Amino acid sequence: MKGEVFTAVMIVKPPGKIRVEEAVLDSDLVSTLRKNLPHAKLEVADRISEAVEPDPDVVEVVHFKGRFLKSCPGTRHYSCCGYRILHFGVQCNLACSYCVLQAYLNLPNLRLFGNTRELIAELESELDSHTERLHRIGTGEFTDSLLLDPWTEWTTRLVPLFAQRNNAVLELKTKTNFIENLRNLDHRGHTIASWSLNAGLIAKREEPRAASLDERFHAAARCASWGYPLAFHFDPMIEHEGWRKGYGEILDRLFDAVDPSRVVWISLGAFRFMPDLKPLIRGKHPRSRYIHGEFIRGLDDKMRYFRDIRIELYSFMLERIRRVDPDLCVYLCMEGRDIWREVFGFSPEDRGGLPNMLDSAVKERMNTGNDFAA
Amino acid sequence: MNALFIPVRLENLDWQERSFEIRSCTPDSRLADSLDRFGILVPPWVLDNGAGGYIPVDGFKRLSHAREKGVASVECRVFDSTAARGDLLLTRIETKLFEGPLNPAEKARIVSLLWETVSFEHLCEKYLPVLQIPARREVVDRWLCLAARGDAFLEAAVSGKICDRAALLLAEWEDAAGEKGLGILKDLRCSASIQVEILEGIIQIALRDDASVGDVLGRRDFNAVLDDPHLNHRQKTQTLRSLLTRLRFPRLRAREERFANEVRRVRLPGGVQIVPPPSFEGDHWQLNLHFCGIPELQSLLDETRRIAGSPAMAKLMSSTQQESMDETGTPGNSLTFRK
Repeated sequence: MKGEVFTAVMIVKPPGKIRVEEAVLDSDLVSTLRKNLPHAKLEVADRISEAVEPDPDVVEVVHFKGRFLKSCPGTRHYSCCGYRILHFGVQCNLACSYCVLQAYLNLPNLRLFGNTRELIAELESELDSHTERLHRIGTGEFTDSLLLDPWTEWTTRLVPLFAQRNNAVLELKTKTNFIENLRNLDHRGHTIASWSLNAGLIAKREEPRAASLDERFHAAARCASWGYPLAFHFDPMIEHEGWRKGYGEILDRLFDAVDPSRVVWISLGAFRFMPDLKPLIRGKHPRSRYIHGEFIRGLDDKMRYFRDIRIELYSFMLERIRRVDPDLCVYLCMEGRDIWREVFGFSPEDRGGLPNMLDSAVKERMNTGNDFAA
Repeated sequence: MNALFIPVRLENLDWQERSFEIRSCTPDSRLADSLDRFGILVPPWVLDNGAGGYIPVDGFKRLSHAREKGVASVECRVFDSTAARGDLLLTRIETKLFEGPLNPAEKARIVSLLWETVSFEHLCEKYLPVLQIPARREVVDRWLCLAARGDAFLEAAVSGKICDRAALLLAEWEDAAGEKGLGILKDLRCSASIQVEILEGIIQIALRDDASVGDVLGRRDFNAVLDDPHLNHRQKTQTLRSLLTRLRFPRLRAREERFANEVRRVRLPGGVQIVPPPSFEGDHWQLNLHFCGIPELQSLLDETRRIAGSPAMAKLMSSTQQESMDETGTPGNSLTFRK
């Protein structure tokens, strides 16, 4: 599979409508969308209301007035990766049954921020004003990093920007195989192409509109052949019948597809959710039975698998990954010290904190940020 | 709508036509007593059917009482035959809404009548807030189910034998399961919150196992509790809750039991209690000391310090002794469930 040329068609169709706020009508983003979606109908409004009817055919472009750079929404109870989010849009139409974005009822449509010059200015200002620090920045928190990239070409602006910064890495997190725009970019190894993965059964049942796992692996292999560092996120891990076999097979297929030395990190996160999400999942995905698993209320008020289940899931994955690459950085997303100790035998605090562990992985596997002290 | 107050002969009423009826499912004795003493003070409403007869609209109990007493005619507010039935129904509901608090049977009937008469948007906007029902489709569906259920459900809800929420949950169950669930709650005579806890536990287990609630209700262990002649209703309630928790959270319960066993093994001195974090989540454990005077405190601290350094204490706090689980997540020992 390594290096093989592969083209896949996903079930996501191009937007048929571009709904734009007047203030960003002349933006580069809107021009690019119109160029790449010549048949899409353009609608212009003074302001696009938040509480609109869901329309899967539309992409909204609005003038965003908040901060574009946000901290990963960690809590004091669980160790956070210290990743920062470049907030360029909201929503996703991959329709994964477990997705928290379903709860964003007042923002049901794909929405991009058209004031990209302000976004870039804020990003550059942040990177330039803290040159002593290694910045790990990603775009895949409130939307999929690459879902709209074929039409926004957003990566063609971001990737070269990060290539010029020795103190920053960009992580593009996706469940798509929309990687064509990455092919010829001058990335200098500062952009991590990363994929969310799941057990085969879960991917098939619960991620119906995402790229298949094979497509994701092919895309990862191609990105690796173009020199991009890789990362993978098993999040949310979902306990289901045959989960060991399911997750074990995916790890096998992953390491068949890509050279482990190209992988900067793998994160593990057991499914967790705000209690309000449960009735939504029950209503929209009545066949998704995992929501009725053994969840308890966590310290952050999210529902989480009872700790012993999480430990089983994580320990299994860690042991399987360690067999392939004992030095690969594996981390837990939003877990407490006690879970870390039982799974890894140490807690992030023992290693200077989770952000420090990930910074070290960047330095070791990407040869980036070595100018800074850990 | 034109209406006149005129005497109506009861023999001309169409007693089979109940489409306007909003039953309260409450005992009639107080009303009957009032009617005997004072007669009909508020005229019932009827609709002229245009063929010399009348359809009851409001006042079913008053009219029935008069008939039982052999009264020949009653002064009624008679709507002429040109009145639109939908408008008349909405007018009748409007008056009902302002009569005072409605019981679950009345609410269910009104929702069901409105469902047939007005749009969902209109229902949500105008009526559900007055009925204090959340304006969500799934909630309306539950009230419709309740309205469609037999009198046993409505009467149980109106009499307070089961709470509104339990009635709504049960109403969605298939017929036999619903009847059985209703019977169980009546027998257990537990509080509203525990009724809901029990029903939701059953529902969650059924959903998780891709089974019906009837399957859960038919479990042997479940019925063994209900049929145990040595348990009173309080003991049955407690045992059933414990069983449902065990079924719903088998590994958490196994861990709790293991913890309890380990605590016994550690042999903590009297007056010392170790409390794990809720659901064992996080690493904030508590040590409670109860003592009378400094000598006892010193003694407890010495003993507790010794225990704190022992391997038994580490074992107590660790989850590594957990039973290995199979791939369905069922612990390998200590807990076996049979249908």
